[in-house]
Amino acid sequence: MKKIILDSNQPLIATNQIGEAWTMVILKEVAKEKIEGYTDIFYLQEILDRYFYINEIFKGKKIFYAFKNIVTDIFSITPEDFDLSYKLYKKNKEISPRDLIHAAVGINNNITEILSIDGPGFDKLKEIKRIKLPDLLKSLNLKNNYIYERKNISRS
Amino acid sequence: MKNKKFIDSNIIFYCSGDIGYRWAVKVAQEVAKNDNDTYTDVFLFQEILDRFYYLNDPDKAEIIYNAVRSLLENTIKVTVADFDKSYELHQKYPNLQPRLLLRVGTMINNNSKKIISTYSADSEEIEEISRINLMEDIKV
Repeated sequence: MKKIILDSNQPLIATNQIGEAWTMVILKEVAKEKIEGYTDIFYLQEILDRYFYINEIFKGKKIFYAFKNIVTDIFSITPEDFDLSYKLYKKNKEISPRDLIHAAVGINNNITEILSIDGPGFDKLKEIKRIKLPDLLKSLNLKNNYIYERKNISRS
Repeated sequence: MKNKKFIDSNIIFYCSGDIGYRWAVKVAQEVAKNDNDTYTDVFLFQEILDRFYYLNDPDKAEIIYNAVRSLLENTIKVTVADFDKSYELHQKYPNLQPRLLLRVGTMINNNSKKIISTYSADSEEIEEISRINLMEDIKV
């Protein structure tokens, strides 16, 4: 089964107006246990932080709980993860340390693919591969039924 | 560790400023003497790298990171249980930053109540932890 790390931007996109359908397809596949989708503590923290600072913590809590229940597992952040992220940092000082810690957690848990819209950081890393949403949908032969259904509704 | 004390990142940032506040350096020296009692979590190191990355000063990030890593041998992981505890705390303290509550969640799960930190009105609200008085307890 395909194993991927889910960036915190995935549940955030899924709950927004634009692009929600694409991400929902993947999150539904994870919920149905057809893909193994993992995340880490820092990603969960990012969801709560984001909604706290825009003063919408109640919305944040809903998204946080839904995402927490959907994912296959949540990884702790250990000092070993941090040591690896620091090694990566020394080689790639132009990449955000936040991206590096997520990459390190994935690598230490034998997962080298990450589903994210944050291209600039992850794309420069050799140790981990960023998957783009359309590519993932294509590789899994997933049709975006949600969009299809919505188009049919609007036409009728 | 009998009297575990959590060290907050603000002490490190006061030490590492261009001036390097003397009192903060003195706190760090005390921590070095009683290394076994003091600990932190991986978030502190993340904060160091994040801060100097956004200040565009990677060399300083390395210096501070290495200094703190050698100063503090006891670095603990942040777990899902810590996160769940912080979420519990969030129900009690809805106006406090989730980041601060995660730190408190980690402390509670590691049976620790004392934090070495500067004054912050938010932290003072939390009943589950108490701040070490830097003037009296460490005599800075």
